Formats: sequence, C-alpha cells, structure tokens
Amino acid sequence: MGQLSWPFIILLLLTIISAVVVVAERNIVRAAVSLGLSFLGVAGLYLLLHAPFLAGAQVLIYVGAITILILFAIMMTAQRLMRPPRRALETWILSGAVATALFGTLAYVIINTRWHEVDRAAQARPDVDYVPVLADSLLQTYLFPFEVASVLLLVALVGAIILAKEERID
Amino acid sequence: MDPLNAFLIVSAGLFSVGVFGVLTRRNAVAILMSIELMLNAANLNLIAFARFGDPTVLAGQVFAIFVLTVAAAEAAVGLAIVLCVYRNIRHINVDDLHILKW
Repeated sequence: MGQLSWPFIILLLLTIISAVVVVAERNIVRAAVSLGLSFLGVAGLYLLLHAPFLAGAQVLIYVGAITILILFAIMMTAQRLMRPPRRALETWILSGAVATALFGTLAYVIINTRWHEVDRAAQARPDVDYVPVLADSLLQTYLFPFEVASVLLLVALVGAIILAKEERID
Repeated sequence: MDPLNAFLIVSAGLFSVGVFGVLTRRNAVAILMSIELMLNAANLNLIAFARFGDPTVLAGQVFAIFVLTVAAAEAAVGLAIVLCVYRNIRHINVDDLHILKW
C-alpha cells in the first residue's frame, strides 16, 4: 500500500459510502440524493485521472440531469411504496454473497495481472493538457460515432416523450 | 499500491455495490439508480486505462463520452417506461410486474 494520496482516499470513501447508501437506504429520495453525491465523487476521481472535460460532463449530465430526472420520476410515482416492505433475509444474504464474490474475483484478477509497461511511462510523463487531444480525436477519428450519438439522443428524446405522454381516452 | 490498480479496485467495488442494488431493490426507479452506479464504474475503468495506457491515444476518454451519452438516453427512456408502467398499474414494484407472463 502506501502513496495513496489523501484526495484519492477521500473521494474513494465519498463514492463508495454514498453508493452503499443508494442501495441500502429505504427512503428512496435519500437514496437519489446520495446517488448524486456518489456521482460527484466519481467526477473528482476523473479529475485525479487528468480528465477535466469528463469531470465537467459528469457533473453536468449525471449530477445535474440524471439525478434530477430520477427525483422527478420518484415524485411522479410517489405512493406508499416510498417505504417498501423488506425483502426476505435470504435474498439479502444471497445477493450479498454474489456481490462479494464478484468483487473478490475482480480484485484478485486486477491485483494478479501484470499490466503493460506503458503505464510506467505515462506516470513519468509531465502532465499535458488532454482536452485539445480529446477534441481532435472526437471530431476527427470518431466523427461518425459522434454524429450517430446525436441521432441516438434525438430518438431517445422522442421515445421518452411518446412513452411518458398522458394518453387521453375519450 | 499501483495507482492503476487502486482505481480499478474502486471501480470493481462500485460495480459490485450496483449489482447488489439490482438484486435486492424492488422499486424500479431504485434499480435504474443501481444501473447508473454500474455504468459509472465502467466509465471509471475506461478513464483509468486512458490515463495509464498510451497517453497519445485518448480512446478511453472518447469511449467514456459515448457511454455517458448512452447512459443519458437510457435514463430518459427507462424512467419514461417506469412512468408508463405506473400509470397503468399504479405501482412500480418489480416483484409484481408479471403481466407479460399471461
């Protein structure tokens, strides 16, 4: 261990603890707010990874848009299910076992893999501004997927409106 | 600990928490929230590899942007479907959503 910087540890705790609150809190409004906190923690981790554009997009899209969208959905489906009946204990134990086994397997594989040596070179490299590089690759190499993504967003917009539209039966 | 490994393990933890949420939650909105957690874990992986991989190629960050786009579309359509289900059967408890079985 060692040389884990304290911003990393703080962001790690923020992210994981709020994520646990999201899945464990029975009041779903609290869970949604905690989800926003978790997204903020992930945005901070992106900053540590020298991805400032992604961090900004994360704050705008996830913290700003998706959390609010989820809160709206909660309000529009608000009912006695705000505090749903508890699941059977065996479901909790079984799900916990599955999640723990998954985490254990992933951690084992991650720790025992020898990653390519490029990462050592990248750590020694002085930090360059990645945003222009990102812009170039997004609008040159990946121009076609970029345009397809805009069509996808349009289709999702139309689909969401049609699905959620109040139907008048007369 | 290697920084790359540290980020990957955080991401694995976030993903496992999301899996636990999908398995235990009954409210459809809460399940969508857990799925968002898992998408975030995937993005964290992609960006960590973009940082510690070849720094001249930012394919990881570009891919993360597309994941972000698809996640936004998924949230919008998913929540619209949840709203539609609620309007029809007045609840969104996934354990009782068995109309398609008929």
